[in-house]
Amino acid sequence: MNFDPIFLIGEFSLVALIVILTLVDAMRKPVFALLGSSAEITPDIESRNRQATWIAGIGLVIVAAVYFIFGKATSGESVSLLHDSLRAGGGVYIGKLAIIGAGILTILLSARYTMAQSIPAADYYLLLCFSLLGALTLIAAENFLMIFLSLEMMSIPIYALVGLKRYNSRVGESAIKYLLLGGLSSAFLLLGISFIYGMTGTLVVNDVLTHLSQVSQTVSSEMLLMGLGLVFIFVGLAFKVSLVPFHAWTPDVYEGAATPVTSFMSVAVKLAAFAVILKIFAGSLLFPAFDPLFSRLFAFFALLTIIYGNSVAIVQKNVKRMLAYSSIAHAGYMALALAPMGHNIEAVQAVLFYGIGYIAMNMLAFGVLVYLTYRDKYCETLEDLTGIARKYPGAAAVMSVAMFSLGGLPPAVGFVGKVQIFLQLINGKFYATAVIALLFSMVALYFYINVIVVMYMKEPEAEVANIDKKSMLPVWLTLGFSTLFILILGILPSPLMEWSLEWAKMLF
Amino acid sequence: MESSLILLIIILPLIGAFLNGTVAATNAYRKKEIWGEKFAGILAFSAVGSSFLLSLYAVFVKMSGIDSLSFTPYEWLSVGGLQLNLSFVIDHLSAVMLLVVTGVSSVIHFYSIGYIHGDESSVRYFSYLNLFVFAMLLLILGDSMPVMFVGWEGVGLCSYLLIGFWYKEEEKAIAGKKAFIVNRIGDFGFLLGMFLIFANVGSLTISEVNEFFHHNNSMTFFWTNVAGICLFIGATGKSAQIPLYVWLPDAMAGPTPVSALIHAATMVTAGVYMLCRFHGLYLAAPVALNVVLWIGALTAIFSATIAIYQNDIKKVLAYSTVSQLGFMFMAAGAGAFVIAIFHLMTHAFFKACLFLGSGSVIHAMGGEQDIRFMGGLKKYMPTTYITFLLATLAIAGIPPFAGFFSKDEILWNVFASDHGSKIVWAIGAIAALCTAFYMFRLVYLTFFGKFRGTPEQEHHLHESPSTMTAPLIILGVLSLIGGWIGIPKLLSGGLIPNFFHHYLEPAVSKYGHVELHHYSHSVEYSLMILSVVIAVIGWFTASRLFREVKKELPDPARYSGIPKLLWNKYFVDEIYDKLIVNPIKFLATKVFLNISDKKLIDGAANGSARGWRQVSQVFSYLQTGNIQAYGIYIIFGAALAVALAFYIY
Repeated sequence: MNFDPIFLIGEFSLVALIVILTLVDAMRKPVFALLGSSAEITPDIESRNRQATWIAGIGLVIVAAVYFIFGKATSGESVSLLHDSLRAGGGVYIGKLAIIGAGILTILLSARYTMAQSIPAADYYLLLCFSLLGALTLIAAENFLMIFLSLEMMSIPIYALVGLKRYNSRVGESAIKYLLLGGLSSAFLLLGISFIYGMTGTLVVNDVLTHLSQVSQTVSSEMLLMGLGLVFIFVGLAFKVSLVPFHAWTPDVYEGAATPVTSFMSVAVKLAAFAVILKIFAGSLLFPAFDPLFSRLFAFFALLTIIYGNSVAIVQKNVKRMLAYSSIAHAGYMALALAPMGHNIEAVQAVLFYGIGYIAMNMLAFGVLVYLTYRDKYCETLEDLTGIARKYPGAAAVMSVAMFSLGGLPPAVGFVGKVQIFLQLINGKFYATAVIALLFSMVALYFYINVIVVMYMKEPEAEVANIDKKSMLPVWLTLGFSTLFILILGILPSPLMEWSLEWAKMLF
Repeated sequence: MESSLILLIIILPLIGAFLNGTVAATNAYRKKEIWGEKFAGILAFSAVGSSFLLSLYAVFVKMSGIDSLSFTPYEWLSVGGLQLNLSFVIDHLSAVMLLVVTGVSSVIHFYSIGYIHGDESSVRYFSYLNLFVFAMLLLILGDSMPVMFVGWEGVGLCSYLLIGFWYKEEEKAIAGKKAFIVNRIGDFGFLLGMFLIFANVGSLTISEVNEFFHHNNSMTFFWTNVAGICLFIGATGKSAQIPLYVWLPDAMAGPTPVSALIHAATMVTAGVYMLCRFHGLYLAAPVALNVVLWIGALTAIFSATIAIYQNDIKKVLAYSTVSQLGFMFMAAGAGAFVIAIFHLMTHAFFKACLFLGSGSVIHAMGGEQDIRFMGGLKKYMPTTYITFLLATLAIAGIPPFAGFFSKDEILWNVFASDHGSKIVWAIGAIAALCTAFYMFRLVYLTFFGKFRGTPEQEHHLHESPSTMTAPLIILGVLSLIGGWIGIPKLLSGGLIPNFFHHYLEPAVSKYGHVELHHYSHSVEYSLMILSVVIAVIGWFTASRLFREVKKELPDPARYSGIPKLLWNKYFVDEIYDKLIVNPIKFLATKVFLNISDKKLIDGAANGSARGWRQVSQVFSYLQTGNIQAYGIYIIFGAALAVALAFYIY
């Protein structure tokens, strides 16, 4: 076995960043004030938070640059590492860059949050980096055990991140909910993996899939057991991407968590989990005898998700909650592309395209909320957005771009993504499904456009509050990058199509 | 190298538009100038001018001996069987168009620097003008129908923006809207044609479409003609032909250089150019070609007669443009695509010259456009007068001016071609007579006789500045010599080669060309002499009637009979209002708005929204916040999935 560390250069440099962050913070004396329930920021904490923020921000940019430059050499062909545990190189390069990119955008948004809050910023960034590390290994995982480990490595820091402001009861509640339900879903995942291991005697995904394709179709008990194993795995993963009815944690947690954390969960965690779903269920190796089962499962749960997510989003007054339901609905669209079970690379490519595009649009939407952090309150409800266009025309404009893209209107990237998803359905002759999904896209437009209406056409009741001017630059960077990404790739989508195709080849 | 050359030609005007546009926006916002009209004008002019120089280089140096340069910078979409590329091509056809458009644009940009001087939003003006050139270049150079369509819509947009440039005056804003809406009707036809072609050909690349119709036309005769007619409907919108010509006369509300550039020399000829691009399709669709021929002829005579009784200097020129476009379509309809493009080119020269000349006159008259109150201007503005006269001689078809060669060839081709018709030839000849008459009427009323305006206006009369007269001189000279590159063999006896024909023939006869009936030289000679005689008769009559106007010209309100009919433009606007606009308005407000929209649709939408909100509310009750409930949902979902597994296996 040849092991060239260059293939894991991204993970290694991220670990190095984690070590540096820990060591530097450990040099300072502990801040006991944070253990109490006081929300005061002392100058000591402030300087400490600033230090951690800078290290994390610059560090992650360096990690990205290192991976971008040195990892490029690996983008040619892919190799299997550590006894088929991880696949590295090839199109995985694209996937990891997308995940790291989402991480950088999150950190840029976080600066405004960690500088102003009495939370231990070093812990915050450590947890974020650990989760990012988990996401990186998750999309490269080749082995069910590795998948499980990575999934936990990605999720557990998020549980803690959600609950970082533990003196706030709403926050604590959502963290606990997330933890308990996450445990339940992990149990399902493990159960599924053990079924599979029991039937095939291997944990390597490709071997399992090859084994499945060789199973004799006549022995139906064998088919049933393996089908059950896959179903349990499906349930575990459906929880992570929040398909209905495994979604219930999502609105509470998204609302309770800090906005940057919410944005990270909604894009990076979701995309990584989807990469695993694609690997197991959409690849060409899955035996066609399982198609009837998973075709129905994906169609049913995806449609349910789209209907439920879009409907409930309409009545939300809290924008973060609205975006949570929107994020549920978007997972539905991504899962829907798999309903035809065509095992063609185009379906995989369509989902990845959508997922990468979704990073930009959701980051933009949440980024505007972070930007509009007022002096005395967060921007969370529709009321907080009312009539802001006059005072903050830039923020209102980019928010409109995000809403257009989320609603799937041209010329935004969300439109191209939706078109590709629907093409999959049409090609698979899922006409009724496509029509229903399309109808609910129209329902979705109602609440997306409503945000624009509220920002531009409603007069605010009181004067629009002044926003806090601290650390605006990183937020502007996020907003600018995401806007450009959405518009440029919306008009000229073919680079993103190529990237997602490269990545799709790895999962195939 | 070639590719970056093409890209540069296209992108330079866009950069100019972007820079000026940004500055115009910030100037208005900040009330502080980043740069003013002078720099904006020079920037816009140099963007288009360099585009022109690069085009010259590309066409004469890079393309010598080569049939075409093509360039695909970007693969736009590749979904299923649909392959959309952002691709450009310079072949001999688009090369001619490219040179005409960038050349005339450069001249007119230069003229605009003087003309728009002192306008508060001149930066915005130059931004639009550059954007127009960019869109026009997309239209000309695009090798696939979608790219062409983007350009097609882009020029429509710029036309709208520039007609309504002084949007604070309601009448001008309305003219802009009219142009846009009428064009949209045509665009609908273009789109339909595009869909028909894609459904049958499976490709939207223009060369492939032509190839398809030439070699293995598996489309039925009927649908081929329908596709041709659909595209032509698009052309009637953009190129102001019956029944969609009504927007062009109103479009004269825009600044005069815009009328010269967009509504005379370039954009309105896009329809003719598009027909020539699709000559492979049209040669396979004889019925569609016949429709083109007849519509062109009818438009030519129809608007030429209207022009006789108009008193607004720009309106006369507008109807003249419509009529000349009709001539181009006649040529295309007769299958003589080379001649259509030839007339397009000479027309660009002399009509741009006429419009710019009229701009110069209007400038001197302090905004007065009614020729009843002009007269005797030649002694005040000699340069304008002489160039205007040159262009008039050209449009009237007096040899050896440019228009003579192209118009004579059109009539000859209509007469002799397989696709032509003798009746259409007669119509064309009468239209040519009218043309000579109304143009010389315009010249005599404007430049000859005594001044009929107010003494105050007379006091202000002056020749325009050299930024405005220099373009006039250039275009005036081109109106004289522009036709010499296409002297028919009959006249030169083969001594001077017909450069234009030689250059263009390979590009537009690749997919077969139309044979002319064999006639003896004497027939051709006599037709040529006849067309000169016709022009001279028109000139002579106008000279007798209008050279020295003694008494005051009649007030149009007192016209009766045929003059009244012509002064009112055959009441076409009124008929459209009665037959189409008013019924639609009635339907829109009384039926659709009040009944179906407010009651049915709003009712249904609000009702279902209300209903659905209730469903949503019920759904959101599921979100109890209670973790046990959430766990149960998960178990429930898992149970469902497991049950399905048991059911299947």
